[in-house]
Amino acid sequence: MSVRLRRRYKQNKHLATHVHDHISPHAVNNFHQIMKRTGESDDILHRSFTFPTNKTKASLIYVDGTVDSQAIEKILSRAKFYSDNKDENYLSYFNEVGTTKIHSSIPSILNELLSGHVIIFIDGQTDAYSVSLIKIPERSITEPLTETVIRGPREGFIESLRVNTSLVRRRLPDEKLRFEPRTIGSRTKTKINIAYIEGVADESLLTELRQRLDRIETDSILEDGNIEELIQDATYTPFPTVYSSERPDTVTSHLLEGKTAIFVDGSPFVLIVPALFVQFFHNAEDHTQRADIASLVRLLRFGAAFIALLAPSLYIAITTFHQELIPTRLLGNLAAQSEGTPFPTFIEAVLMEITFEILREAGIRMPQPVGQAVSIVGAIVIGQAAVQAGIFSAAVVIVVSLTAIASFVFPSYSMASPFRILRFGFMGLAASFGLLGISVGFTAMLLHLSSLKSFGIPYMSDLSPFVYSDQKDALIRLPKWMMKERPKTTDHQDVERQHTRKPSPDQ
Amino acid sequence: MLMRRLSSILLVILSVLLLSGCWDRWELNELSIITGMAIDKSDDNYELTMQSINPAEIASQEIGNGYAQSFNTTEIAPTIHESLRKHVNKSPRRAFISHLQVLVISEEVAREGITSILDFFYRDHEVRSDFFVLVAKDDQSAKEIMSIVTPLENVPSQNIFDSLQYGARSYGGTRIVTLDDLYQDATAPGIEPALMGVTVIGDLKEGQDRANAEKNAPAATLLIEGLAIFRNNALVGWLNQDQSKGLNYITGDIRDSVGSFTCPDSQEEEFALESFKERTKYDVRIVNNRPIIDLTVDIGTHISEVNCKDLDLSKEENFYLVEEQAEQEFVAKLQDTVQEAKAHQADVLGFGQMIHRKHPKVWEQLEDNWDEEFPNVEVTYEVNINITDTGNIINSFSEDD
Repeated sequence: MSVRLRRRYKQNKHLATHVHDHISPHAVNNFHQIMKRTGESDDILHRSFTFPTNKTKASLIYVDGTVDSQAIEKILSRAKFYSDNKDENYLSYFNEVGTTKIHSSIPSILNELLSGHVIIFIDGQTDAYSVSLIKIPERSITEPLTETVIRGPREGFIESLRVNTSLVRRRLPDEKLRFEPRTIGSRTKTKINIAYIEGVADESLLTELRQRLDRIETDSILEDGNIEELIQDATYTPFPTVYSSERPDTVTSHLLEGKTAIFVDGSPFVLIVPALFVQFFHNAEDHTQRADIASLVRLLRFGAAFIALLAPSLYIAITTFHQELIPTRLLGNLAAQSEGTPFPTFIEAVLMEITFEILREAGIRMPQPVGQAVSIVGAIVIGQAAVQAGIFSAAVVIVVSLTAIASFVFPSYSMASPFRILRFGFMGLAASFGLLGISVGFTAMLLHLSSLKSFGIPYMSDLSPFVYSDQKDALIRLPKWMMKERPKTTDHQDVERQHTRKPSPDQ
Repeated sequence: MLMRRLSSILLVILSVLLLSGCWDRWELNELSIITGMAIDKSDDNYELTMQSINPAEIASQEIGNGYAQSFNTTEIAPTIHESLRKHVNKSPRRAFISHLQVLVISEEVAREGITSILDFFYRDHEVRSDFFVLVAKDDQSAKEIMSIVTPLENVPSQNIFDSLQYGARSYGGTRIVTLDDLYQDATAPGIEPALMGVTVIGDLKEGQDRANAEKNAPAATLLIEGLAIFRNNALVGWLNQDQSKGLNYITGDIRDSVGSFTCPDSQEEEFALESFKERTKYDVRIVNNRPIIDLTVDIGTHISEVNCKDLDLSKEENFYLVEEQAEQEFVAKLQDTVQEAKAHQADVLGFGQMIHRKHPKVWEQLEDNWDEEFPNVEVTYEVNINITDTGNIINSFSEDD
């Protein structure tokens, strides 16, 4: 059918030679106008039909693949039942099939058409109808890949904005939950929703966020990462100041703490602001597991962060500058391993770290069937063989492996990256100045962290500035009934959260 | 502007890192880890023997070739530090002495005085002050002691270190003196240092061979026994093993020990007490302007061996008999220790310090002439032995059973 239409369009090409914005009373002319503007794109289809009752001709235009084709058939087949009386006009007629809006200029019609609406021109009318019949193929809801839990919900966000907001709405059927729409990107016209709970979220934070979003002038927003880079507080820092999550339950819990979420259509990640340093070490499971183990695991994560950051540099510093710190027998063993290795410890460690980073990158990008080959090459060739060949000392391989494992403990992938980057800096400092270099570097890092802010809130909040009451859910997590208030750092209004007393059988 | 600032900052950081970097860096395979040192005298110079471990042989991995686990080099120089640095003449690596565990001084050097030796070890930044200091006994040179290949621990310095460390926890005949302790005892008024003695027993020649460690009954072993006592930081005499234990009891430096005592009703037979708790208290009285030191030693023990035929331990009164017998013998041991120290005018017991603490005014009069005054100090002893247990059995086996 489309071939036939196309031929007819080509025959009548001369009819629409100039571009104009007004809607012609001849439905076919409007179609030609649109085809001219879209450069005869293959995916734009056209159906003509007639309302039998009043013999009015109409044109129906849509983008193939973005609309529900069954609904189109419904419009066409029901046209013969259309009765032209006063109670029923075209608008209410189309409204029965899908939400319908009236537009009166070609550019706005184009906009609607390209975002998946069905456009209907009717002979004799200078208005057009756009019916929302969007049906874009989407992935089904699956378990999130990045933030996995043992106990807890298994739902993850998908690429559709509406599905994502519905996942949050389901968990938070509160009248105060707001989804504020925005469209960003002159070409991508990406739909964005700012989510917050009115009366809980800080107004000034919202104003700030709206301003920052409105400041964005770009042709494309493809992904949540684009937004993050355009609204974050500090750009020259390796540390993320915007939190992103793939889990609806995480987003819901942050909304309840007075934070704000940004949903971006086309991305399975939702941004949360403000983001605090400690928050990147929290995981949804911290709240589904019992408080004691959750606290211990959190402390373990902070410990692992230290290992991921400092283990190679401490090894370098201690074995090349401060040998007196190593117990004698251990020193004997370490010295035995370095017998005959040709490189200085620093070079060894850096080479090993770079090798590991290559392996890791290869592991992520490799097509899955080849993945196994990488792990075999990595484990045997680079680990074992390099030590046996006497190129690297076994201790360096152990330290680098420990570092690698520790860097996978981060619940948030975006927080693992700064630690990966800074690790190399610390290794350089350790090789030049030993422990002194490490302590200077660490102090500098702490100063930098303390200077960061996320949407006006100090990045190291809860710890520095120290907020005593927020310690209940920072480094450790206390039982739920003890957390009677929302965190003070992010929430200043509607502070009280619950009145549950300590559970005991006599109550 | 920003680029210029960034690049200048980068330049500063890079020059700091690259121009100054690594000046103090020593890789592990450039270091010779010295765990033992021996100081002998060679004419007017020090003869310094350094024991380096051979890491490849010591590690539990199979990378060794079966060579000796340690090797010794000897250097002669007028000062200790110079002879230490001359080490590299004979070994391909720099001598690293932070891991020094044992320092053995020959008796000859010790008799001349140890002050000049201590200076270097206390002054140098690389030395840690927690290694043990010993004196070579029985005219054995310190160098030879470092050359015995001993079983279990093939490295002599490690052997001495472990032996001392665990000996103090199980028998109490040894006394742990680290450089720190030595320095304190050598410099503080009213106390003199006492250092452990070490010697070689058996065939010295065979003991230096690696085959010595492979034998069931080694031809030569190291023996750590006896305490060298000092007066004005020069060696003046020796305490035997029992006296060493007595000294440890008086100074309260004992943790766990075993002692044998004669049975209450028979001089021929013995019983053993294992002590697990020990507390020493002292008091100083001034009578007729002379100080009298009252020592009280409380010892918690249990009976660990009984060879007495007619001792019925199921009766309570017999416990008191045993305790009384042990107390008497104990006092005799302590007296013997004090007697020996007095004979050498070496106040290793720290009586001077006791007087200083309790009666500083009296000490002021005695201080200048303490070496002569020390033998005249009167000492009273009170030993309280408390037996709490008889082990898994009560009475010994007898023919009647």
